[in-house]
Amino acid sequence: MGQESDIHHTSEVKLTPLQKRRVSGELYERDPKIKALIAELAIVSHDELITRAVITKRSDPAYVPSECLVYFVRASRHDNNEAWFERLYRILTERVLRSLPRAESSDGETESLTHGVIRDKVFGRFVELLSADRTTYVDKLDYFEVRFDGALASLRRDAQEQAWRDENRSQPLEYDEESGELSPEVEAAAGAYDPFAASDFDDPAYRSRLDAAIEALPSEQSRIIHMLMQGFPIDSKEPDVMTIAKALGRSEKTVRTYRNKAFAALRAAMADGEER
Amino acid sequence: MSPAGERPSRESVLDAFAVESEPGRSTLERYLRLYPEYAGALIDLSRELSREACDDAAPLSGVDQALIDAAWSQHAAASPAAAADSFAALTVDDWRAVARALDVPRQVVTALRERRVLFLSIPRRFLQRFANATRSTVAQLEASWRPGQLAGARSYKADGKPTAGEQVTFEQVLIDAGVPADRRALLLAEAD
Repeated sequence: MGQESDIHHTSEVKLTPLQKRRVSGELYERDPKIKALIAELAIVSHDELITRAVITKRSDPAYVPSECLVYFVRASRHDNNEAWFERLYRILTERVLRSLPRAESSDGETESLTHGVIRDKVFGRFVELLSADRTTYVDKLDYFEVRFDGALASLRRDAQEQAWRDENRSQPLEYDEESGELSPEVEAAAGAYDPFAASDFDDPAYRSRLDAAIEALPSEQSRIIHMLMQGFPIDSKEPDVMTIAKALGRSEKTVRTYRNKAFAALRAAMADGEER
Repeated sequence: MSPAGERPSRESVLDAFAVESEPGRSTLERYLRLYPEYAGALIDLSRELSREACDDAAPLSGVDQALIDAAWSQHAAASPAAAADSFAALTVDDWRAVARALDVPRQVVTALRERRVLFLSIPRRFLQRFANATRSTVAQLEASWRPGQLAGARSYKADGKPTAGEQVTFEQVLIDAGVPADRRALLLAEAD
């Protein structure tokens, strides 16, 4: 009673705990580094916070991770649209836009309709969550305070799934699954080609074109390619080993056929790119 | 959270995978074993997670700028709903606790609750403590004190109470409540 200091803490910043729960039931928590940085930034002036927030280079020691920006935008939800808050909001949403693949390719030659659709969908969804959170707590946004890049990747996947559905990309392939035979042309095209063994695999430009080509594959094929890149075996004699065939619920032969088909398509796409 | 025996939803599994600290092969494998029914989506997500963060520094296009402008307008328009009725969730016991925490007579808390106090006459420091005690924020309190909010806050208790517009200073409220002078000085102080 009567202790003025009970509630009046100036040096200690109390972070509102997250409300989202893990699948196991415990509450999610922010990374300790993020917590420490929020505490540090909560006591600097708005101007200083903005000055640091505009830094886009992640390697800069003064860089503020997006997890913190989400925290401040949410924590200021009652701050009456002051100018600094608008600035902060714009910085955060700009970061989201910049992280999304553009519709036009880097050389400006081609345009990916799917990229454009995904970009619009993800951005729209993110700002919708932020706005809704102003009136009622949106626990889905908690993921963005736990791991921003991951949460955004999840929105990208959602949008991609919708886009693929709209494009009918997940339709079964034209080839006869029963026989599992590919045309001799495809077999020949795949040949000994391995897109991951290319000498310029470490070249960012090559990787970026390869990624684009993988993305253009039918979904089942791109999944096989991704699992191969992650090092999963196609099949195994050991029953405990996680294999591509097991994960996708396909026979070993089907997976190999799809892989060959994917390799052939990738080779064609990469050769095409080189001619440009 | 999932009750025993109930499978977590596809969305919660995918979101959980997305924020794993080590989203590499072993984590993907673990999720594939736990949730084989979502294998396709998990692999797609794993591919999204393995994408290098692209930090392009090129200036924003006009289209992008317009997207952000539109988003901001929409965001600014989404007003915090809680502002109008920040005290609605507080019970009689809660109000008693507020009076105890602030160490002021109930009468003072009631005057604040009914917004019969001139907002600008409340010292910032006391306001912050009042906001903490009512699980609110200073900005929220300020918003709830605006004329538009007042009518609603009071309409149901008009009987025998002063009508809108008759606000008094915080100091007057303390005097009326019989708070001794030295205690008043403490409460009115802007700093410790």
